[in-house]
Formats: sequence, C-alpha cells, structure tokens
Amino acid sequence: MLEVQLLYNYLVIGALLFGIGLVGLLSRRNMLIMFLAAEMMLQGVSLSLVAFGRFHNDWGGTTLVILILTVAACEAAILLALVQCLFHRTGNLDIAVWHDLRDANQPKFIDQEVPGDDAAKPEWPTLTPAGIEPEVDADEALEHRIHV
Amino acid sequence: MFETKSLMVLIPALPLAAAIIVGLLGRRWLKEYSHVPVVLALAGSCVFSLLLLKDISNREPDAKQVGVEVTHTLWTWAAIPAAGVTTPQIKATPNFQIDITLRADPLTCMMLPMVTFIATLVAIYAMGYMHGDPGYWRFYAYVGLFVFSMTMLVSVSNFALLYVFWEAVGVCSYLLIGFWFEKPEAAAAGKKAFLVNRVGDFGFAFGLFLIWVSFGTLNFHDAGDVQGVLGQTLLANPARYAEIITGSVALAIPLLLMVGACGKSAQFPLHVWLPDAMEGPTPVSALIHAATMVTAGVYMVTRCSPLFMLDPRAQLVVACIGGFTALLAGLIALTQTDLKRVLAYSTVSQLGYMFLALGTGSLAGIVAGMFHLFTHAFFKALLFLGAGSVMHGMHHIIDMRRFSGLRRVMPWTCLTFLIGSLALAGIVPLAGFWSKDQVLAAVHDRAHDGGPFVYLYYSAVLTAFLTAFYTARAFFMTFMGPLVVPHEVGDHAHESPPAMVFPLVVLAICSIFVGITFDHSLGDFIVRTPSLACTLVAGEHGLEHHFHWDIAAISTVVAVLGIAIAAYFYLGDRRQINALTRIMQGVRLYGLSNRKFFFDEIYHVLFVLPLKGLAALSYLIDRWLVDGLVNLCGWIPRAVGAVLRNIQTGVVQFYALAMVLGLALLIGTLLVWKVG
Amino acid sequence: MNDPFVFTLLLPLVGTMLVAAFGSTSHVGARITALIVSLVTLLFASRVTLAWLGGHPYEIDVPWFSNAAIDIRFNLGLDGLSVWMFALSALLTVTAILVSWEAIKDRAALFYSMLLLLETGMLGCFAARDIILFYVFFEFTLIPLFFLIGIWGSEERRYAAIKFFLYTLAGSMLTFLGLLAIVLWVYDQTGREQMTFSIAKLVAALGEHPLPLNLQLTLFVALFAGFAIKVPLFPLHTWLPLAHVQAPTAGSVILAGILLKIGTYGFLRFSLPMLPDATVTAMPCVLVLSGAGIIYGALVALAQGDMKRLIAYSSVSHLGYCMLGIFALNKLGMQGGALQMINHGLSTGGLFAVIGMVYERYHTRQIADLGGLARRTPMLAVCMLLFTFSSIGLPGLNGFAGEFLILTGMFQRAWSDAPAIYQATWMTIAVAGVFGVVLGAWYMLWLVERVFFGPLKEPGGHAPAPAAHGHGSHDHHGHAAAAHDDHSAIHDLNFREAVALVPLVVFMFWIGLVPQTFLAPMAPELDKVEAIVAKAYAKHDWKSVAKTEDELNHRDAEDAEKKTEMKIVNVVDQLPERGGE
Repeated sequence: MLEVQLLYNYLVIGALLFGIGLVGLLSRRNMLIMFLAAEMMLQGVSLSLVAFGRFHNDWGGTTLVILILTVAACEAAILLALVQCLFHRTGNLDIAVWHDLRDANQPKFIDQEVPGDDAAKPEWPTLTPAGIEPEVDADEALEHRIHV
Repeated sequence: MFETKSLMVLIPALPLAAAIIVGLLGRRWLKEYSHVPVVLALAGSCVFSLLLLKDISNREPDAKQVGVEVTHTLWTWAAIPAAGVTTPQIKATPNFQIDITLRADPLTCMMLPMVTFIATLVAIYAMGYMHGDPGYWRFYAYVGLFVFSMTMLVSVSNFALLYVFWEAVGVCSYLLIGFWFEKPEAAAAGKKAFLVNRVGDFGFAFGLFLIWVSFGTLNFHDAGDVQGVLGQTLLANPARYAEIITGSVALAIPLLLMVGACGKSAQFPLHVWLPDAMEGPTPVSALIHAATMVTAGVYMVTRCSPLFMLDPRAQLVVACIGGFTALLAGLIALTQTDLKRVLAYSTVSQLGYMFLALGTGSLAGIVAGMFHLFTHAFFKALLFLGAGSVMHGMHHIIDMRRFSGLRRVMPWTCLTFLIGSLALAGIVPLAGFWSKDQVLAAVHDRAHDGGPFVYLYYSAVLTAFLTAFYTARAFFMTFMGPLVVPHEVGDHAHESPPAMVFPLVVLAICSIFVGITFDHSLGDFIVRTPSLACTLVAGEHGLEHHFHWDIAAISTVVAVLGIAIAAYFYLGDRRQINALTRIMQGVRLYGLSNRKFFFDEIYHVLFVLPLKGLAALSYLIDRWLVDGLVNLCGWIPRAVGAVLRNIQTGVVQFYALAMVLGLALLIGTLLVWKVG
Repeated sequence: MNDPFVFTLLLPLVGTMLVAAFGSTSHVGARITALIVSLVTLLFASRVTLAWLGGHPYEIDVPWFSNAAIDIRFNLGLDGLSVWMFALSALLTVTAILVSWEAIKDRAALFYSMLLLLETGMLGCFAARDIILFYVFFEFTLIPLFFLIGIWGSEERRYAAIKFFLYTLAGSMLTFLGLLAIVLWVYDQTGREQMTFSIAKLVAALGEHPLPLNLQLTLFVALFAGFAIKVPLFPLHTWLPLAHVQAPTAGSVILAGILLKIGTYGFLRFSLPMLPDATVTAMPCVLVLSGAGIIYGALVALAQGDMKRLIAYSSVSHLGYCMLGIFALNKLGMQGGALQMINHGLSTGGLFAVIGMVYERYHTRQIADLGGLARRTPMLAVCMLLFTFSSIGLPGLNGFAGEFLILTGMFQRAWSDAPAIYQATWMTIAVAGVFGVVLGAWYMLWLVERVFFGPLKEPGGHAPAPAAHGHGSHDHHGHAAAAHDDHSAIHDLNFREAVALVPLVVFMFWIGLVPQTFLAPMAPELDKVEAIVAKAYAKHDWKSVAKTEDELNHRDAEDAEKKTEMKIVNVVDQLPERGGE
C-alpha cells in the first residue's frame, strides 16, 4: 500500500475522532462526558501526529505524542479533581450550573427548566460496605441484577 | 596693619558671622543680648571700611590703569568651558566662568563706610526701639544678614553676583518688612515688595543675559585674557564699546538694567512697594528703605555708566523716569498723614533726583547723583529714626493728625528731626543743600542744549519746592503747635532712651557737615573709579568745582518759600489749609494725591486681576480640557469593553463554541487566502 | 563579592524582607528596621558615589542573558549623568522614611517594604548601563509607588494610583519599543554578530551608523512618549497633581524628588545621544512645550487652594525649566538642566515633606484653613521659607544656580545660535522662562504668606494627630465639638523631623554657594552628549525642517506607535534571511 494512502487512512480516523470529540464537547453538558470528548479530540490529533511521524519516518510525531500523553495525564488529574470539587458543591455535574465567571452586570444564564428531582432525596451510589457479606434475599438480589 | 584683600573679605564676613551666630544662638541663649555680636560686627566692619577707604584713596592709578581697583577672587562659583564644536552656524561661544570675586574701587569704598556706619547706628538705635520684642534676636540676625548682602552688593565684581546680592538684599527686605508677620498687612507688604522687585529683576536678568551674549562675560574686571564688561581694557578705550554692542542692543541693555534699578530703587512705575514697606520696624525703614538698599539701583547705574553712555536715549529715559518719579512722589507726599509714609514718598522722590542726575550722562551729573545718595543716606536715616523715636514715644501711633507739639516732650528728637528736615529741604549749609545744588547744576548744564532737560530742570525745581513744603509740613504737624498726644499714650509721652537718642545726634551732626565737607572731595575721589574715569579718557574734561550761585540762589529761595508756605498753613490754627483741602477735594486733586494717584488700584486691575483670571482659566482648562482628553483616552477602552462585555456570559459552552467558530474562521480565511 | 555596589542595590531588597519579618507584629519594628536599612544603604551609596568622584569607580558587569547571538548584561555603573541622582535617591529615601515615622501605622511593614523596594528600583534605574536592565528598573519603580499611593493615599487614592500607573505605563511601553528598535538597528548595521544592549556601545555604534532622519523622528516620538510623560512635560502632566495630592507624604517626596527625574534623565541618556538629528528637529517643539509648561504650571499653581496641588503644579513649572535647559542643547543649558534635576529633588522634596508635617498636625491641606503657623511652629516655618526660597530661585540657594544656567543657556541659544526662522520664537520662550520666575515667586510667597504668616488660624475640630490612619478619615470639617479646638499638643519641628530636613537644607546651600562642586563631575559626560547634539545641530537643514515639523505636528501618537512597530517588524523580517546564510 502506498505510504500516502496509509497516511490518509490514519488522518481520516484522526479527523473523525477529532470531529466526534468536538461535537461531543459542544453538545454535552455533563462535565465528565465533556472531558471524555476533549480527550477524544486530543487522541485524534495524537493519532494524526503519529501518522505523520510514520510518514516522514522520524520520531518527531511520536515524541510530541508522548509529551501530549504526559501532559494529558496531568491535566486529567487536575480536571478530575476540579470536577470532584464542583460536584461536591452542588451535587450536579451539569456545566451550565457554573457561570460565575460571567462579567459583572450580565444576566444569569437560564437554561430551559430542568425537570426537578421529584424524588424527595437523591440517592447517591455508595460503595459496598467492607466485611462479611450480609444476608441477601435471593429474590430481591435477582431483581437487583436485572437492573444491571 | 591689614592687607587690602583681607579687609575686603572681613567687611562682609563680620556681619555674616554675627548673623549666623545670632541666628543659631539667639533664640535659646542670647535672647535680649542678641544685639551684642551684631553691633560689634557692624562697628568692626565700619572700621575696616574706613581702613579700606584710606588704603584705596592712597593708591594712584599706574600708567596702564584707568582709575583704581583691587580685585580679590575667593572661589569659582561655576565654570563651564565653551563648546569644542565651532561651525559657521555656531558662533564661537565664550567660556562661562563666574568667580566669587570682590573688588574695591573708589565707588565701593564710598558706599562701604556709609553703609556700615549707618548700619551700626541703626543697630544701636534698635537696641532701644526693639527692646522687649519677642523677635529681638531675629531682628538682629536679619540686620546682620542684610548688611552682609549690602556690603557684598557693592563689592562684587561681576553681574551674576551683583544679581545674587541684588536679590539677597531683597530677601532681607522681605524678611524685615514682614518682621511682624502676624500682622496681615506686614506679611502682604513683604510679599508685595518682593514681587515688585522680582518684576524689576526680570528686567535686570534680561539685561544680564544680553550682556552675556554681547560681551561673552559677566565680569566687571578683566580676568586673564577675558576682557571684563567694565574692565580696564575696554574702559581705556571706550570707543570699543560701540564696536561690541550697537543698535538696539546698546539701547536695550541700559534700559533693562534700568528696569532692575527701578524695582530696587522704587522708581516709577515700580515705586508702589516702598510706601507699603513702612510696615517693617522703623530702624529697618531707616537702614534699608531709606539709606542703603533702595540706593542700590543708583549705585548699579553709576557702576554701569559706560553702558549708559552708549546711547543718549537711554540717558534720557533714566532722566525722565527720575524727574517724573521725583515730582510724582513729591505730589503724593503732600497729603499723606502718616509720618513714615511722608518720609517714604520723600525717599522715592529723592531717589528720583538721583536718577535725574545720573540721566544727564555727564560726569558731573553722575558725581552729583552719588553725592546726593551719600548725603541723603544720612539725613533720611536721621528723619526715619526721628520718626521711629516719635512712634516709640506715641506707642506705635504714627498718624500725624493724632499728635502735635511734641517738641515739649521730645526735645532731642525734635531738634534732630529739625536738622534732618532742613537738610532734606536743602537749606544752607546743611548736607542736602550741597548735593541738591550739584544735581540741579548738572541738569541745568544739560538744559542749555534745550530739549526735554529744560522741562526736567523746571520739574526738579518744583520738586525742590514740594520737598521743602512737605518736610516742613511734617515737622510742623508733629512737633509744633499745642501738645496733643493720643489718648492711648495718656501721660506716658516721653523722650526716647539714650540708645535711640545717641544715633540721632550723631546723624544730625553728620547731616550738618557731610555736605560741606565732601562737596568737592567726594567727587574727586569717586571719579577715580574705573568705570567713571573712562569718561575722562574719552575726552570729557574733568570735574569743575565752581559754585553755581544762580542755582544755589534759586534752590534756596524755593526751599525757603516752601517752608514759609508750610509755616503759613500749618503753624497756627490751620483754617486756611482746611479750606484749601476742601477746594482741592472739590476738584478731586486732593484724593488723587492722597490715594497715591491710584497706582495700586490701577496695577491691581491691569496686572493682578487679569493674571488671576488667567490662572483660574488655566486651571479650568487643565481640569476639563487637558485632563479631559486624557480621560477620553481612558474612556475609549471602557466604551469598547461595554459592548464586548455582553458576550461574557460565563457559559462554558458558549466559549467553546466561540473558540471553534474562531478557529474555523481562521482556517477558512487561510484556505481562501492560499487558494485565492 | 565585596563590591559596595552590590550591597547598595541588594540591601533595600533584602531590607524589604527584613522589614516584613521584624515589622509583622508592630509598626515600630518595621520603621526602625527600614530606617536602619536605608541608612546603611545611604552609607554604601555614598561610598560608591565618593569612589566615583575620587576616580576609582565601582562597576558591575556580569552576563545576564548572554550568548553568541544576544548580549544582555547585568551592568551597573555610575557616570556624570547619574552620579548625583543615584546619591540623591539614597538620601531622599531616608527622608521619606523619617517623614512617615508617625504618619504610617496602618500596615506599616508593607509600607516600608514598598519604600525600600522603590529605592532599589530608583538606584538601579540610575546605575543601569544596559537598556534591558534600565527598563526593568524603570518599570520596577512603578509598582511600589502604585501601592504606596493606592493603599496609603488620601480620599481618591485608587483613582490616582490607577491613572498614574496606566498613564506612565502607556508611555513607557512605547519607549521600550523605541529602544528595542534602536538595538535592532545597531545589530543590523554592525554585521549581525551579537545583539548588544549596552548603552555606551549603542551610542558609539550610532555615531558611526546614524539612523536615517525619518526613522529617528519616529523613534524619538516613541521615546518621548515615555520620558515626557514621566517628566511630565506639558500637556502630559495631568497625572502628576492627582498622584501628588493623593500620595502619602513619603510617596510625594520620592515622586517629586526622584521619579520625575527619570524622565529628564532618559532624555539625556537616550534621546539626545542616540537620536541627535531627531532631537534637533524636534527641539523647537519641545522648547515650545517647555516654555508653555513653565508659564502654564505657574498659572495653574496660582489658582490652587490645596497646598500639595500647588506644589505639584509648581513641579510642572520647574520641570519645564529642566527640559528647557536640556533642549537648549548647549553646555550651559544642559548643565543647568542637569543641576536643576538635583535642585528640584531637594527643594520640592523638602516642600512636600514640610507640607506633610503640617498635614500630620492639622489634617488639612487647604490653604484657607490655615494661617499664622509661624507663631506656633517657628522652625517649621523657617524650613518652609528656606525651601520656598530655593524653589523660587533665590540666589545663594540651589534653585538659582540651576535656573540661572538654564536661562543663560537658553538665551545664548536664542540670541546667538538660533536659525533665523526660530529666533523670535525662542526669544519669546526665553522671556517666558524668566517671567516664570516672577510667577513662581508670586504663588510660593502667597502660599507662605497665607499659611505661615498673618494671624494664627487653625482648623477647628481636629484633635491633634490621632493618626491611627495617616489618611483620609478627616472629612468632618469644622462641625465637630468645640472641645477639640485645643491645639496645645501641636508641637514645633521635633528632632526626627529636623533630621529629615537638615541634609536637604545643607545640600541646598552647598549647591547654591559652590555649584561647581556638582557641575564639574557632570561636565565630561554632558559634554560628550553636547558634542553629539551640536554636530547634528550644525549640519541640520532648518529650512526643510519647517516642513517635516508640520508633518510631525499632525501625526498623532497612535500613528507613531504603528510606525514604530512596523519598523521593528521590518527589521525582524530581515533577520532570518541573512541569519540563514
């Protein structure tokens, strides 16, 4: 196969990854999803870089990608920590909740009414308590598993 | 015993040292003994001045010299060597060097003993007059500083230093006029004196700059290969002046110097400060505003007479200013009721006389002017000190309408004041007669040629009459008639203490004899001043000492007439004068004289108000226009920001979208650009 | 390194930390530490100065950012232009600390830290011999003063601080671009080996490869923007009165005493020797502005009712003299201008200090509120009078020496050396300069008369000096209880205040009596500058200039900025082409 053809294949995949990521970043409001979308864009670019490295037959692209991976790891750590903090503040992962950085005197962004949580109190996923496995009703357990 | 040069240094150094001692120690330690160092130093200065006078008068000019002069350089004030680059466009600039150089020549040696002698007497007088004043030490510190400045003023040897001490005496005057600074009038008068003098100095400074650019030096004397403005080389050949400065510059330099002299010597149109300066303590009025500082202008014009000789128009201006001021001040003095004010205007008038004499441009005129300066110093100081003695006895009331007949309680003051008045009026054989005679003779000589000097001569004679009249008026109103004392004084009216009477007596004796003693010798002495001797070189024949019978007769008649008319009006019941006053009030002449021809008001409207208006306007411009433009520059980013802030919604995804769109736009443009 | 130079610059910097350490608990510790640090700095600074005067100059020259292509050096040294300002900076800092002694108790540690930081900036600015280093210190002075005004100032302190900061910064950005363009030009002309930032080398190189006139003019405008704002030259002065009025006393003293002089120093150091042709071309304009500034500043000062504002406008007038002297472009004028820089620092610094002392006692700056203070505070009045006399150019004190030389120089320029088309204008400017002296006497004596003479008048309702806050909190004029009218606690000059003022007075007399002591060390360096400018002046074609000048007048600053940038871009664009060869 021609080297150029090979490059184009990779570039197309890279562009697809980047595009999907971009659409995801713009259209989703969940912070985690947005983060994943951004990562996807990054990977698209990385893929292209590696492909170019292969094409030019040098280590430049690969070197850059390794750098990007390192940075992305740090960035992911920081970002997840931030998301964690934000989540603990409001109990919500919606990015639209946060717009404190708007200019003074700007009206607050009002999203269309989010259907309120009718459940009296939200249930948060919890880790299984450590120790001996408790007695579980078999039927109930079966039902529980159906959900999964 | 002393070297000439050390004498020259000691004369100003002693008062300065005394001033510093009193200034530093007076407040805490010397207190009521503050006069001791100053009086001693002034007396010492006086003795040294006399020694210097003897020294200089014994010298004979050698063949190369014009006149007699000794210079002594202390240190270099500033030296800026000329630029190295000389091109057709840049004229070779001279080296700029100003040394602290003292000089002694007959003119200086005439001034120094006079200044220090009168200063010593005034300092002694002030021991009585200022006794008990909380600022006693301050007074003596200022006086010491003043005498230092004044002695330096007459002994410096270049224009820059002349300007320095010109201003320095002005500051001492400012400090002493505002001595009782808690009195608003005194503080304002001090400021006024300083400012009016500054206006004069404005002209002086210009003259100085013109001299610098024309002559390339500011020195009077030759130093090395630099020919001084009044140095031997130029003076030996006065025609050289006309080669250096010609045309309008030759006229401008003396006129600008004259502006300076007008300021310092209170000549029209800058005479307005001197009467106000009477707010100062009376000894100060006697020393600074009668005998010494105000004559600095006359001294300067005399010193620079070679420059004034260059253009007859400059001489005419000087003479006109002098003659006009003399008459004007004489007219104002007629109706003043404040004894010190009368004397102040009389001083202005007499200074006008001196300038009139200088303006004749002849050697005889210059000598006459200096002689009048010399005699005037004695009798005017005497009159002021006499007035001070009256003030002392009357508890600082000086309005002549509130007291009379004081001869009974203050016999010594009365006698000495009488002598001073007669000297001022020009009665034979007192001092004023001789000098006034010389002045009138000099003017009369010029009047032979016709022209303006004829009118100036008549106005001078009229002024002599007025002088006699108002002097006699002041004397009669104060000392003659029934004894009246202001009620504030009660029966405490008394003769002044001996410390005050002693200087009066000494000055009275001087006023009698200085005229007749120095009538010829003073002139013969000061013509050996280089700057005056040059006129002899130039071919003018020397001083002729003939007595002008005609002029003497006229001036005596006029003086006696003035006194007689004053006696007619003011001795006795004064009904006639009241009637005359009413008539004069009717034709508005009285008010004109009494209100000093409204000069203060006119100046206020012409200069002060417009400048203040301009100042307020400038401030408005500054706040609204200049600063407004600056603020406008600051406002533009804010206005732009006000538009742009609308898109700062804080919604993250809006930002993300904006970034993406921006990127798309960028790439799109790039593509279009590259393809297109 | 036992170089006192290093100590002089490092000490205030270290002192900043020391003050923060010792002053964290009480203002007493802060001020004592600051005083000791500044005194020791003064000691070292005078040692450096004396060594320079004695002919054994200290110099620091270490590579800072230096490789084969670029050579930025940490190069410090003194010369005739800077030596006196360097010493004066160290002296005035001591004065500034002493006058803040009682006034500043709020966040004192920070205050004194800022003051010492400012000192580092000033000393460095005058000692720097490398353009980058100069610029770093030049901007470095802004930040501490910004905080000094912004935190410890009077009512409108924030506005004043921001205006001061932005205005000055806007100008100095342009200056930096201009300086960089000069560096690039020299780099381009001297074979592109190593880019030098050394001022001396640049001046020498520009002597051999002068910039073309048009480029010079553009760069002159760029440099002018920064320096003229700093001076401040009329009409770029409006930040100054505001900053002065709002600044705490120490800030005013330093601002008037030193910081304004960085502007004139910049002209002497950069504009004149590096851009001589443009200097000569722009000279008529600058002279007009200086002359206008002298009269205008004096007139506006006449209309003031606020003591500090009055002195601030008098600064505008006095700095006009400085600029007039420098741009007379002859020896007399330039030496006078350089001397006037020191003079103004002493006399106006002193005036601000005295007014600060009055403010500390009465908490008002309004002339109308005060009167006859000479009775209550005689020694303070004496000091005020001395500083006033110095300010109005009284002979025997320093002001006269400077003004006399400046005006003589200007007069000589206008009378003897002026091109025919400008003779009348320049004579008018010289006349305006002399007239400014008259006006100067008027407003200063008016101030003294109103505040210190006349019957005693003290503002009612001010308890003497509680001074928990040195600023701002006293806007309740007159209507407080009469019980507070007791001013018996108002004292005359105390020992600390006397110590703060006496050195200034001593130097005022010294300069006034023997200015030669101060002129002689400056002369060689100024002569060099003068020689460069005189050559340009001699070959200048005055007829064609009249046209260029019109263009210059019409071109506004924004335009100039654009051009400067374009020029730089041009030079930069050329770099890789040859670099690649």
